[in-house]
Amino acid sequence: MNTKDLSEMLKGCRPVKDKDGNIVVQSILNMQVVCLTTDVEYSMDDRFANPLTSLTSSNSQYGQISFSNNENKEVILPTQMAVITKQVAQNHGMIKAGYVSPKANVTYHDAGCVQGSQGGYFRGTQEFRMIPVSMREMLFDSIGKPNSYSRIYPAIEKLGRDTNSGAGNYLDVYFNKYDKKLEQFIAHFERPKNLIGIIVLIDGEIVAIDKFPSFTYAEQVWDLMIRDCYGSLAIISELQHKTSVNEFTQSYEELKKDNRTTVVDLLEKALKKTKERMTASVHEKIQEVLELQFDAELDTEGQSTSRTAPKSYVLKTEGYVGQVLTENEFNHLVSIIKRERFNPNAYRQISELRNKARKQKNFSL
Amino acid sequence: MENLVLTQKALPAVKQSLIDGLTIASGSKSSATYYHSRDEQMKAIQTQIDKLYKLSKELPLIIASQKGATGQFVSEVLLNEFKQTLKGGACNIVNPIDWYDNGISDKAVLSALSNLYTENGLPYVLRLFVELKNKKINNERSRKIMLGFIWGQPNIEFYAVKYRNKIAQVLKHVYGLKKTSILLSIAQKQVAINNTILFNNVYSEKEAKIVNECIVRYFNGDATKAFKLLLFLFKKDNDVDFFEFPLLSEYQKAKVDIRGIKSVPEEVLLGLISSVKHPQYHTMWSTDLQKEATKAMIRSTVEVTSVNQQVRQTKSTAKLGVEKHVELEKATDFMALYKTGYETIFTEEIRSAIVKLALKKKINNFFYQNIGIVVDDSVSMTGNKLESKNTPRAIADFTSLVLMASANESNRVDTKGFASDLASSFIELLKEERPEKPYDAIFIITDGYENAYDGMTNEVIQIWKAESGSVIPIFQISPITGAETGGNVRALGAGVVTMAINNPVAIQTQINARLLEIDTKRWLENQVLALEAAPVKRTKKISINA
Repeated sequence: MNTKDLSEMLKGCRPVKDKDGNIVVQSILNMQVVCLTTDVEYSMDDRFANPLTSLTSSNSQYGQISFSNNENKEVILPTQMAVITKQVAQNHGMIKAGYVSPKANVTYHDAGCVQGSQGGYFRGTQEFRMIPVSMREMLFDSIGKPNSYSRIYPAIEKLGRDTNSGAGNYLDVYFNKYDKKLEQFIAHFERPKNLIGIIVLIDGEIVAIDKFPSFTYAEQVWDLMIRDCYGSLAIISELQHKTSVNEFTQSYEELKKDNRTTVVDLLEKALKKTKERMTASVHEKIQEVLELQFDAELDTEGQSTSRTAPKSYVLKTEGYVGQVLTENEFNHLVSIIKRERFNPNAYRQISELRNKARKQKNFSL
Repeated sequence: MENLVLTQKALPAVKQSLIDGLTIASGSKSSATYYHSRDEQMKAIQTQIDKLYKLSKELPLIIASQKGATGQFVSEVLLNEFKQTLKGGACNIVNPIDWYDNGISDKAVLSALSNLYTENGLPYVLRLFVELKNKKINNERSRKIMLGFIWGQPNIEFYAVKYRNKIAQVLKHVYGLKKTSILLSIAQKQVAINNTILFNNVYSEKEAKIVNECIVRYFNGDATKAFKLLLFLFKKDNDVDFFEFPLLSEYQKAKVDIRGIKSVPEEVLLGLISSVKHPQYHTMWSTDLQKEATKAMIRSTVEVTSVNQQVRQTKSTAKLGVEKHVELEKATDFMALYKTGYETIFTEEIRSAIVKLALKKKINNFFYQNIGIVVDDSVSMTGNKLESKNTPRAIADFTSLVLMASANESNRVDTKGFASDLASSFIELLKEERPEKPYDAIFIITDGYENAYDGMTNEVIQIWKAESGSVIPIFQISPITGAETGGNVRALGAGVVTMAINNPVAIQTQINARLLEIDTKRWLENQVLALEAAPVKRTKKISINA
């Protein structure tokens, strides 16, 4: 089994910063988004086609999805795409990301149904959505398990409970209930130019990291990622009555105690302090996860065996799970999710103690 | 007019609805925004109008008659009004005697229609009339208003050429199939083959009555002319000589040869030549090369294209290889100038035309004379990718220019970077304020979606107001009304007064609307009096109680 460092998988990427060097953190409720960028030479814009318009999807058995690539370019399937169709057919979802060669047709037998008892197969559709990020962990965990059409149902049931949507085994029920809210959710986040990746934090902890193959690819999937994928986190936060902390007011009150300056100067200082504080917090958390080392297991189901195609690896480490599509040490797509039960604070305490222990000298007289 | 019948009990609800209504009216668009689809936007507008109508039937019409109300809002109000019967809905503001019997109802409808026409042009009005047809609305009042409007147009000859099918469609709906057929038959009889006018000679009494009811009472001119126009509109004009209609005569020529035609609109000529039945089709339109050459020839010859349209055509004119000087400074549509700039490049000439237009549109006796402006320049202000690219950005920039032209002194700060960091720009604006000349109002032009972080600007404003003791108003002007707020503005927070602006002409109306918070009844009274005094009528007949 290989190992892969997150810092190595995200090499070339850096957070988008403002003119003062602060990481730009976009926030709503208790959720924050940090955008990543890279140098133009590392963005594979000419190589990969738009996954949302180049592919058509069909199936002929429950628990599998076939993708036909209509372009003369390669296509990387975004992580855990779903087909939610208006055809009289069972909706399906992928449990991972994938790859389709130019003008090729591939079938993934490890997909799953996402629409309870609905019958029928879909044909030639482009009705793609992204599976909510809160389902990701369970789906990644099912990679390599025996094929079963019902493999996604437990994750949908959990989503239904978390979002009070009563989704049961029907992913479309969740989307129908929250589509309007999710649409508005897009509005809160702005996509910077030359976006290559996204880091999502909840309550100040990193919960998801996505790195895309190119700037154009990131632009193509941005709306779907924000709305369908990360949107579920905001819905869950709202249901839990989470709010954003009035960080600016806090900074202002702190500064006010020691400063005898004009209101406007104080406001400016408070704003600077707020941004620095947000940057420092995010910086620290990114630094922490960059130290993660994953066990990487080759994933072959449905993936291309061509020597020139990217290889898929399933990534696992304590507290995190994910996938990388890599080729000659160049990582086209990285997708990491924090395990829900994992508490980074507890882990931090253990690490701290472990580090202290390492520094201690052996007993001697 | 008698006193208003508005009760104290109903006043708070009316007041709030008026404020909301004015906000929606000046910002509502049918187009999609960056965040919301067209359908959602339309639904939000319709829901608000429905709410206003249920509260009191006069409210939507009063708002639709305000300067700056968008075409979409006015159209929806009129559609709603025509959908109801004349006596439908409750009059809770104006005394019903005044509303119905003294003709204020009529004036209100006609004022709104006139507002729609002057602010948005004939296509909007025709679109409304066609919508009436689609919704099968054909009551006596709507019929009379439509006929009065169409036949009363002083420029009817030009409109007949440009909007031939649409006008015919509307007239056919109004008259009905049977009456249309009768009218055409009478017209054909009257306009004899040799165009000798036999008027009055072959009229039966019954025919005369129909002609009078359907045309003569609305048309400002000779009945024979009206017949010829009718025949032209319904394409029964094969043997008609249009000697008294120079434009129609030229149109007849264009049906055979489109070269050298100057007064027929470009789109009409393109319609003619693109028909395989046109004699020049095979020599001028059957190949792509011919099409391009013909389009270029038409573009350079036609002289009736409005300046605004010429501005909008800048890119295509260049693509056709036609050199046509457009007097940008004569343009009155700021959006046309901006869209041209975004599509091509903001030349000095375009910039200068925009600034000059903003000066022309400045608000006279503007309430605030030393203002600060923050303009949100984030990505979401570019609008929906498909339908309204750059529209919010153009409205925001032009609104700021109009504000700057309206005040004696002003200072503008734009947000920097891709995210909506309004808080930083607000503080920057405060830092640039001169102590000897403090701002008397601050305008933040934004869609209301800030993300660094959501709610931060409101915190800054609240603290600044509390700590500095400033009481100046802070207005949030939004070029987008979010469907999720029911067509209203997505507010930055409690510290700002929100306004939805589709066109800067609505700013003063919106600011005045804030005054209605102080004395709603007086404000309403003034509006109704203004409606009563409005110089509008159904062409020949001043009031038709139908």
